[in-house]
Amino acid sequence: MVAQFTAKLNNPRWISIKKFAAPLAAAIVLLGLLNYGLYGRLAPKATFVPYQYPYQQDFSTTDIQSWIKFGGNWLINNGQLTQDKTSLDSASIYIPFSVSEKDGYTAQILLGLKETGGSLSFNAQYPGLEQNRHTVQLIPRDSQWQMVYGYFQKGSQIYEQGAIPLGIKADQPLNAKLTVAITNDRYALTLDDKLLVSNVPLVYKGGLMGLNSLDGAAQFDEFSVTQISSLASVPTPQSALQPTPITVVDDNVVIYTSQFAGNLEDSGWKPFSGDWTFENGKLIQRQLDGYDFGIVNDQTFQNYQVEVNFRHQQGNSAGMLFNLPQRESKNGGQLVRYTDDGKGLFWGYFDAQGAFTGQGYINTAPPAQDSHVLTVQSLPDTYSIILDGNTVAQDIPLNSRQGFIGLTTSQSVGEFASVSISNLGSSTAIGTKPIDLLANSQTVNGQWEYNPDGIQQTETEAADYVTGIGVLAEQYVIESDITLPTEITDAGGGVIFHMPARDTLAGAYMLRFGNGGKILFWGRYDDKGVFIGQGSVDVNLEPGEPHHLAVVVKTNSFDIQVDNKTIVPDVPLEQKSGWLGLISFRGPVIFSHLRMTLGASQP
Amino acid sequence: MNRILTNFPQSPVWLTWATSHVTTIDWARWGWLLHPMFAFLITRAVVMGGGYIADIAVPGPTGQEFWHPAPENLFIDVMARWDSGFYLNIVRDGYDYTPGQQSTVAFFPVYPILVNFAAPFFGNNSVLAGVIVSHLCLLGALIFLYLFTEVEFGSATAQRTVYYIAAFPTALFFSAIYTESTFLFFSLATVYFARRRSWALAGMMGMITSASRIVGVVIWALVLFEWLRSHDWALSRIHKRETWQNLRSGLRTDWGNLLWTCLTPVGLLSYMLYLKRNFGDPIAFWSVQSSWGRGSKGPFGAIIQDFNSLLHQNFGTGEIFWNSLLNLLILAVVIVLSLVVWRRMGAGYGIYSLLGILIPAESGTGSLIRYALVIFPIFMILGSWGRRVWLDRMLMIIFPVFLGIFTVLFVNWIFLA
Repeated sequence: MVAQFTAKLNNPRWISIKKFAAPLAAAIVLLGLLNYGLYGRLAPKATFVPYQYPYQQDFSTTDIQSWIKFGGNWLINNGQLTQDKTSLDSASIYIPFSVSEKDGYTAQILLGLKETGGSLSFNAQYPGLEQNRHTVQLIPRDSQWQMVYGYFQKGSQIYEQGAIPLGIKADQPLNAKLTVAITNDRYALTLDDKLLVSNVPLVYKGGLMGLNSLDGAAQFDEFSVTQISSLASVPTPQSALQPTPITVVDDNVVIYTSQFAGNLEDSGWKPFSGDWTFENGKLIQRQLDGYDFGIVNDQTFQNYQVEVNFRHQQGNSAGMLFNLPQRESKNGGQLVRYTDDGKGLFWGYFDAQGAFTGQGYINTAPPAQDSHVLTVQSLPDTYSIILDGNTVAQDIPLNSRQGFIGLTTSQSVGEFASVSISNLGSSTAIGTKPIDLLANSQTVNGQWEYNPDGIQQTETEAADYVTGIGVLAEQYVIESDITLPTEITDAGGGVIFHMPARDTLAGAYMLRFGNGGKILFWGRYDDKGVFIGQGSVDVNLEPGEPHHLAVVVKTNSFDIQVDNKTIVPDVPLEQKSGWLGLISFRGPVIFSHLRMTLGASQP
Repeated sequence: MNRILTNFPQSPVWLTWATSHVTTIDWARWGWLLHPMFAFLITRAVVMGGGYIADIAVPGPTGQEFWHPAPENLFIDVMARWDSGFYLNIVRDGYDYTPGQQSTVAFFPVYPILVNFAAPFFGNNSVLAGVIVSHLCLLGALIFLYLFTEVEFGSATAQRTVYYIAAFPTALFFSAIYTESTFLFFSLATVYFARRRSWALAGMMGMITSASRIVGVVIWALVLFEWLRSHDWALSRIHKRETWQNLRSGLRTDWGNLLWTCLTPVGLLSYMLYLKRNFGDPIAFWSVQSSWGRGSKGPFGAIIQDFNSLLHQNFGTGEIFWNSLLNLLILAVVIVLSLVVWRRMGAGYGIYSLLGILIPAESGTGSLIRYALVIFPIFMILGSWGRRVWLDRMLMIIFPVFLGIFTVLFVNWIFLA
């Protein structure tokens, strides 16, 4: 037996194996030592004690020497934590206490910001504090302060879960109390005690909290961490993550915020045409050629405000669909988008067969590749459109009163950064600027002066003078106070509408005061631009006094009102839509309180 | 040295004893140990002693950013400056990584691991452990350098080579809490074993080398060249048929040893895996380079940039970019010497020398005088040339003098490399 074993050991093959085995074992030991050193001895260390709830920090006598800092110059100044270095991208400081993965808690901080942003980081994972963490940033973006919330994974790029414009100009300082309430797998954000968003999925659980200055200096005060026991303690508007038939929630609460990340099929967004993908937290439609590409969300809403933040990578004509009755097509839904040439915004609705009916158009600056915020307020019967904070149209009749929200592009590559939906409850509108009818005015002839308090035509020669006011619409009320001169007895002023082009009278309708306010007459320009009268009434107005003229333009007819009385009802219309303008015969004629209301409601 | 000692008149008892023993030493037998050891002791005396005096006699800068990790022991404190802080942080807290900011992941793990292992033996004094690890590695590196040079050029060249490298002006970094001596030790061990055709040992040492420094994995190319050379393959003979026949034969009969050489990149891969698992970025050590002002500038971008800065200096008033001057000078010297290395020692060593300087130069010429320190083939060439007495004397004067000056600068927080 022994001899046999010895013989085996002396076998040349075995000898060669032994020769190989010894160095192999040594190599394995060496590699083991290297990896033991890395993972056992040089692994990033986590040595943080848990928070003692409630944790209050007023920065009055705080020693921040032991706090973990990444860049910046952090100091306690007048009872505040200050990062005073202005020439850097970002700086962070982490409080060396941890929260457990099982803890539900509320963290609150007062931020003092001026021109540059600040943020609260929470559930920051150790190791890699700056990578694996959630963050809520208050930053200037698109010329206003915005709350951006999301998380950092492995890289240095924030993965946005949503953004909410705060309606505060970016050049104003921002002092705000930010609260984040965290439960097992969700979190909610409150700013100055107003709940802005909730039920946002939590990616990282437990960890450290930190304060960050973004692109400059920042001040922090009154930091606190309080434990909460259950989900019920967190303000919870209707879940925005599960499809619901109709979302009915409290007033002015953000009820949905887009998360353009992960798998498109599982995201709640369903394309019905086009090439839609998530890239870097944004939703992009890449197919350039073609019209009405669309993607639709999986929730329906009623009585809400939807805000879409987007830009064009190529082309001009991105926008949104809303109140869609189904997710499979645009049919039956409402549309607002830029025109293909980028010169304006138009709106309307698709019927059940997909035929589009326009409800209005307005000239705008070309969208270029800048970011824009398009907002629609969908009320029970009407809707309003706001572009980049300016009201474009109000009180437009809704063809579809509730439904899904969608995004759309035509002949363009659109990049959608966020979609945010808040309910409007019983309120009818959120404060916005009125329609700026003068923004796109274009003089055809005459001497028109545009002032904030009125428009004046000063040419005195006996002729009609016209200015286009840059609005194309179908159903609306146009109204103005018109003051005629006392010394010129045949002067007149009024409106001209349904012009086929901004400087073309042929086919347009016109009505105006004549003979110094003694009469009102109306009619239409023929194909050659010659005015054909259709009727007149005596109004006997006093010249030198402002008199209110309103025209209610409907689908097939229009009404004329003078000094809030309907003088002429239901004058038939052959033209469906067109450009609007003002007309003056001789001058000076003053148009004041010019106002347009889209939709055919009474003024 | 022997003659001076033996002729010393009226020697005291201890010197008589020492002299008798020194004279009886078999230098031929123990030269591989004694020459490196003397080079080590003499040059370290300059560095440690000079550093100590520089620290106490020269009023250095003060302030929070000029930290002193061991103020109670200035002998070791002076060896911890600049990047030493990163290594000490790694030893104490493990690695950290913040994209876009200077992070410790840029520093390879072998040296901090060794210091971490050693620290418990020195009362958990990481600074002391770091200095000791650096010195032990330096001594080991000098021994391997001697042995390797002896094989290539003979013992006289080997003696000069170890002195030249140990007294090189930036050789103070061999003593500092830096990775220079560790890298030199493992890279020389790799090459020495490869030259001895001990492929398993070469592979193992190569594995550690590749985890020692960002350019460590380049040693793999050198080992592969040695393996090819062992099978009569050389760049100069690639046009001959038998060269390829020999290689084919080698691949058939010696693939096991070739496999051993492939252990070399495993060290780097281990570190990359660690970075991936902990920070999600396997090349985090490269990603953070830009935060040190290093970034890919193309093959000539960094050189042109520094050269331009030289055109706007005034030697008379002292408004000069002396760092840039030194770095560009060493870059030129190493490139020239690399060509000599190529010719004298073969393409493998020539390429290794060139890559050793060109890889860091690609992202910036800063610190090249330190990176050149570990390109051992150029010191072997200098050692060979040092048989000319005038050159030997010149180097043996210039090198230690500047070593002393640079040590004073380093100790007093003047950025050298």
